[in-house]
Amino acid sequence: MVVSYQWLESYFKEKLPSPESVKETLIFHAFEVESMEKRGDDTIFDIKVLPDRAHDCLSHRGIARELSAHLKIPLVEENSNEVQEHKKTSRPLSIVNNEEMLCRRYAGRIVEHVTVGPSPDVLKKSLLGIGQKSINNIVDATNYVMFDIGQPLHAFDADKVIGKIVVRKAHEDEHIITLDGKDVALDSETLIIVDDEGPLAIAGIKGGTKAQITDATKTIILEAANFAPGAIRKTSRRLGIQTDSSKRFENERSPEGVKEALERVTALIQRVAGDDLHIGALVDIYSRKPNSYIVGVSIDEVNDVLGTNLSEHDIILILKRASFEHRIVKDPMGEICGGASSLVNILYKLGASITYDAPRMFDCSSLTAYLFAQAGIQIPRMTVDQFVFGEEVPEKDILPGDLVFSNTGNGKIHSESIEWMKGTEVSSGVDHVGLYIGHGNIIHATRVLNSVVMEKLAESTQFKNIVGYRRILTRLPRLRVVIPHDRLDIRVKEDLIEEIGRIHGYENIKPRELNLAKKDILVNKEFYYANKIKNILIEEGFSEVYTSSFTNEGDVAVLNPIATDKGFLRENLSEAMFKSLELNNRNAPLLGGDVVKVFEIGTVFTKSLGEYSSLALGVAQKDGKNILAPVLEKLPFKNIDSSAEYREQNGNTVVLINLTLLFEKLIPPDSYESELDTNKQKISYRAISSYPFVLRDIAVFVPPKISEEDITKVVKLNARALLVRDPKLFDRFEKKNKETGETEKISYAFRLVFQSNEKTLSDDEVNVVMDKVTSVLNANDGWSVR
Amino acid sequence: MDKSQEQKTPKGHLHPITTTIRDVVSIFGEMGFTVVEGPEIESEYYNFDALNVPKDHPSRDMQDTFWLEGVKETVLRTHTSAVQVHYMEQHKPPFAIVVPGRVFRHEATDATHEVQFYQIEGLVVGEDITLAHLKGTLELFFKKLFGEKSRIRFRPSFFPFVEPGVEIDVSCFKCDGEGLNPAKQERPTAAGGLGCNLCKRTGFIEVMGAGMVHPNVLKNAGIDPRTWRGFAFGMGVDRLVMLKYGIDDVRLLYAGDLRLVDQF
Repeated sequence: MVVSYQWLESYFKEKLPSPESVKETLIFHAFEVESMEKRGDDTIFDIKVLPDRAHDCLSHRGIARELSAHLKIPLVEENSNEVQEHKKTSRPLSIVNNEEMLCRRYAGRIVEHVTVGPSPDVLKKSLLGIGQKSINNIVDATNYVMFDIGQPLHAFDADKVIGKIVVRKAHEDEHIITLDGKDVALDSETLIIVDDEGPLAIAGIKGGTKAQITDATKTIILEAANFAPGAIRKTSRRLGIQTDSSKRFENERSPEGVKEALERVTALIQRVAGDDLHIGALVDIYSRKPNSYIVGVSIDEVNDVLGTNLSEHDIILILKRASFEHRIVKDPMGEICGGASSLVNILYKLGASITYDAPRMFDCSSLTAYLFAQAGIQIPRMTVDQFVFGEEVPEKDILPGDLVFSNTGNGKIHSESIEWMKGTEVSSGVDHVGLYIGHGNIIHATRVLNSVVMEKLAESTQFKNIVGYRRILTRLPRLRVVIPHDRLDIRVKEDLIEEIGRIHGYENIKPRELNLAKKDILVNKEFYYANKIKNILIEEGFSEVYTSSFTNEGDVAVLNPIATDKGFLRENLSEAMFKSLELNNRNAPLLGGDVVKVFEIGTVFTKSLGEYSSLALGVAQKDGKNILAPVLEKLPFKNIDSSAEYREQNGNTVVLINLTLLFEKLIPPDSYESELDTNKQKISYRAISSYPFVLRDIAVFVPPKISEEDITKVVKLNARALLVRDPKLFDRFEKKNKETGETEKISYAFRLVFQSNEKTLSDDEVNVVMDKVTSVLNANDGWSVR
Repeated sequence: MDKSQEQKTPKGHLHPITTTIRDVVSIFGEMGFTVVEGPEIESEYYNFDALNVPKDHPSRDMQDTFWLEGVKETVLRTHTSAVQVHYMEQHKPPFAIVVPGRVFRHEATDATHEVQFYQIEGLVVGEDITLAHLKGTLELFFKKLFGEKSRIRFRPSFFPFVEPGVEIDVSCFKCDGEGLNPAKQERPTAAGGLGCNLCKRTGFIEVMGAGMVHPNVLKNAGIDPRTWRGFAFGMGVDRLVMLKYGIDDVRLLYAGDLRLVDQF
């Protein structure tokens, strides 16, 4: 989200701290700031809004609210956002929504007598500042409001909209020319906005040219809507069209924001697109309006999760900073019982939703769940889960606020829990719940009487077969918070605790030591032995490699491979091991020139054995079994030879072992001993050159008193920069006096490896170095290069 | 050649991912964590559903996750967190585990992205576990891994399986968190400025995601979140290896190339 500092400033009367400290505040209390850049007299931030906050924070207001909470600076709302006095239009606007689940709200209004033209400089500047093009005053106004409060909007030329606006799915043969001039073929999964003639827009994603705003436009339809996030995301991916609008819808927005956005954009258009606008009434198709979410938490619960010692006062101050409507529920059970009494006679509806139907309709468990939620206590939604969730109390001890469960013998009887501790058995079966409110009275929602009723428990026909009494244990008092509609991320008390923690500041949480009971530590057998094997193998001169799990053939295929030659999971390690041997053999001089030996322990995947851990040992030698077999004998397995599978390819030998099978026979050790030890020496890694290396041999006669080290020292000093590793001695012989048998001189022959990190070395370049080495060697008394 | 010149067998080398996993696991082992491993092929349930990842979450898309052909609802695990619920279903709390292993993400490979990499996951569940314990545990861990001077800091973050969720930064092990201090600077940064090039002059490096185990995750594993709480953390091993040794291409770690391995 690209955010302008000046735009943020418009939300505050007090001065904001410097951009640098705004950035710090956001980083430690809200979001990563990926970049901060001075642009003219403004500063532009690129803020990485977290996915759970894309509902409300892909907007300047969202970020401003964060800053307000963290910096303790109050927000100011400007009254210029309100529509000013105006003439009305009676021109009708007809909207039909055929897809209630995909389009949760669709609202629009007619505005007549607009003058389309360039935006005023202030508006242009705001949009340009955050990298948006200015198009015209109408389109700019809709964009401005989207970047301001996060709600996408659209404007149509009303004279080009023929008949009704309808929200529906597209037909397979339909297509639309989008505003950027692309012809997009639609399909039956795509939600579109149409008029009587055809598509006007791809819902929530992009507008079409049919009713595009032009300089000639006189009358517009302003539109704001709310779409189901999953559908928008899928369509956006399917069509390959991502827009600022689709990005906001696919992260879900609250439908509650629609009306405010339309009011704001109308007010803005009043200011920028005409002096004599005739504004129509809002046409608002909004059949599923959600209730405000209520989340409660106790002071102890906050401190138990955060590890803090916050007081009730501290927490209330934090909630105030967040501008969360809240109050303390001193007597939850009293409120719950009182609340229940006020709901008597409300209509019964099986499966009534707490979010959409309450408090107009209830079933038995939505009533109890709703009542507890209102007091800031979350309990499961379903009867059987409430039964398992509650603490059992004997009949003689029941108190107001306890739940009474029965098996009516009629309808769907549950014998195990569904959402809470899924599968917990309820042998008596349960299908009905009511709230005990004292004096022998119960309040419950029942289909028998088709409403919420209060009855004597002893006389209720629905409670003839009581299967138990349950108490919801909570600690008092509870902080009951009404979650703002656009904070879709706060749904359980842990979400609220996070909010409190962020505002309190994680830097203020004092670290505590973890005290674990160390005695019953179990050694992981497979992990122990795998590491033991690795230690044995490196002692034997094998180096460990890791290779890719993906290959071009195998038993287990990947549905969506990353490349055509990586369509399968490896069924063995040998293929990669042979490749590794070949690669390393080519580089053998760089590696020291010895026979290349490698190993890998990794997971392989086969049809017959499933997934298992395999060990592969490889040696760059034909008939390498004579090297590999004795090494296998050193591994901690009996009869390992019988499970070893040897393979040869291009002069290399590999042996494969199924470790999972062998591990089964081993007993777990008591401790890891020293098997997890590592070399603690400081390692300075040298980047691998991508250029070829060059080999040169040099042999020199020296007097007997001269050692090998004396020579290599001279060679290294003079070949320096391009010499890759220490000169490797490959031959040595002594020239003896034929008569005395005494050693006269010794010949040492070295192989030198040259390589550059910057280029391919030419012969000439290496010759220069070799000539220098030769002349320096020859300059020593009694030394002579052969 | 005479006998004195006979080559002794050179010792082989462990892959730096192995040594890094060992170092990490050993430190947690000393604190009382048990090593647990899990399968690389995982059901959609354990990799996503059980971890409170919403049904239509983008991470489940073919663009992000490898799915198996012909086997329904089966993926290559995208994180070692997939082992969490397996373990919780089979063990009664309290417990503390550390889970090293290979994981897979469907993404275009380049110098900093591989389709496979290693993660180490930690999970602690007990009656009185708090975010403060997470801080204490990780602070101790990084002091042991990078030295006594190491400090950590929390930043807000989001992962569906934890709440609150945090990102962990550790003070830069190259400049000791000095960041901008030119005295600690070795060479000019790519941008031409002065300061530490490892932490990009911030003094801190992002190393872990962590948080308090989401109550839905405990519930899904049959553990009552009213009695038990926990914290979890996860780190990328490859990234740690690359930062520590200045390896600039992650693909080298899976190339079977001893020019890399033999330096360790």
